Amino acid sequence: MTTERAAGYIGPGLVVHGRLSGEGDLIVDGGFEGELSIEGRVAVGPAGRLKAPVTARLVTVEGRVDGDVTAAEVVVREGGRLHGDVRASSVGLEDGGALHGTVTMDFDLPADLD
Amino acid sequence: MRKTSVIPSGVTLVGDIEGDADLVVYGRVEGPIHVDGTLVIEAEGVVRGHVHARTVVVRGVLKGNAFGDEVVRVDEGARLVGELTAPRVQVVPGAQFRGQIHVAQVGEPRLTTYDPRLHTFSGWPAPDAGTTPGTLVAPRAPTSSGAVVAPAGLDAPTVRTRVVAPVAPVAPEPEVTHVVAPFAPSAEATQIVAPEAEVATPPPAEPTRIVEPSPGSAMSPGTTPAPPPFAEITLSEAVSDAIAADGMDEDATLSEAMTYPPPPEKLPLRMPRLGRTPGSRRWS
Repeated sequence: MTTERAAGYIGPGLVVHGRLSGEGDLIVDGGFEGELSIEGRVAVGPAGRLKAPVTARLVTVEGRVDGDVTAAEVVVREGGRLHGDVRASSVGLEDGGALHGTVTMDFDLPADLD
Repeated sequence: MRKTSVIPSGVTLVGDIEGDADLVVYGRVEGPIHVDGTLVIEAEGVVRGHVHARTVVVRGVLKGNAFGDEVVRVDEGARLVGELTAPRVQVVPGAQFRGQIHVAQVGEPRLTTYDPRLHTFSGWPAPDAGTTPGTLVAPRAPTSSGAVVAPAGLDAPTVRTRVVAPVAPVAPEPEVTHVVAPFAPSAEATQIVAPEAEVATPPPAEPTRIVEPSPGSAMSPGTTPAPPPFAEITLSEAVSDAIAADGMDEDATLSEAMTYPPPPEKLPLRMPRLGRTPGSRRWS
């Protein structure tokens, strides 16, 4: 597994405005508004609200995200809501999760269908 | 028991499919599909056109929009370009998908108002007919030639066929390998059996082209299954000629296409949880 280190944490009741970038993981149980670009994992907890374009390696949504998401992998869990366009090589949408937006993924259809 | 209709592999259908039945596509369909039941596009299946069903499951290739009255589910291995619209949309990681997703909020009334002309549910933006991937204008088949007619009283779908022809002109595979499970409407504990499984040969006394619906026939598990009733397929003359020119036995091809599978084994339709374990709740 990856070397675990303390993840950034925005707790409930806390609202952060601004641009956040860097390495590491981030857990959002509170609010974040602005721009989020980190080389790591982002988890939005059930009470978390993220209003920002997000760039990360893995984005897990159990709360609410408003903004475009660019990541290697995006997972919207049950109860999670993602409003925005998604660019990822893997997208998971669990039953009970909601994704409103356009998903972009690079792959080829059979040649005669293009 | 609901009757599951099958478009077998090696068969291309150009036209549209409509009706009250479950449908499994192993072959290729060029045109829209609207069934009031469960539609499954299996791994080797290819559909080019909008599809609308109560439950849509995509494991193969779909170029077109998918609309589910209840669920649209994109399984692993699927390649899909189009829009997904349903109160519940499930996408398994690993599925390849491009397009928009519209999911109703939990607690919202079910979206059942559907405009077949626009291929959209009320409240959702209509797909742009000119640019939306998979938008198709289905060729309307002349009613005189080529038709699959559901016998009265059956809920088999009406398939208006323009061309039914094997994909490849080479000799067809001799054995039928399609096993299809009827889907329960509840999407619970329904199953699909992989097409590798063996299929019982139909009774020899059976007519090769038309199988009459046996009234009250029950496919009770454990007994030899009576083939479910299904519709008569008539090939247009051109297709018949083409098949004859290819040196293929039309009746054999048809009987292969019309052989119904044995009863299914149990496989859950429910999508597995996405790897959530207590220790990796956030990251899995």
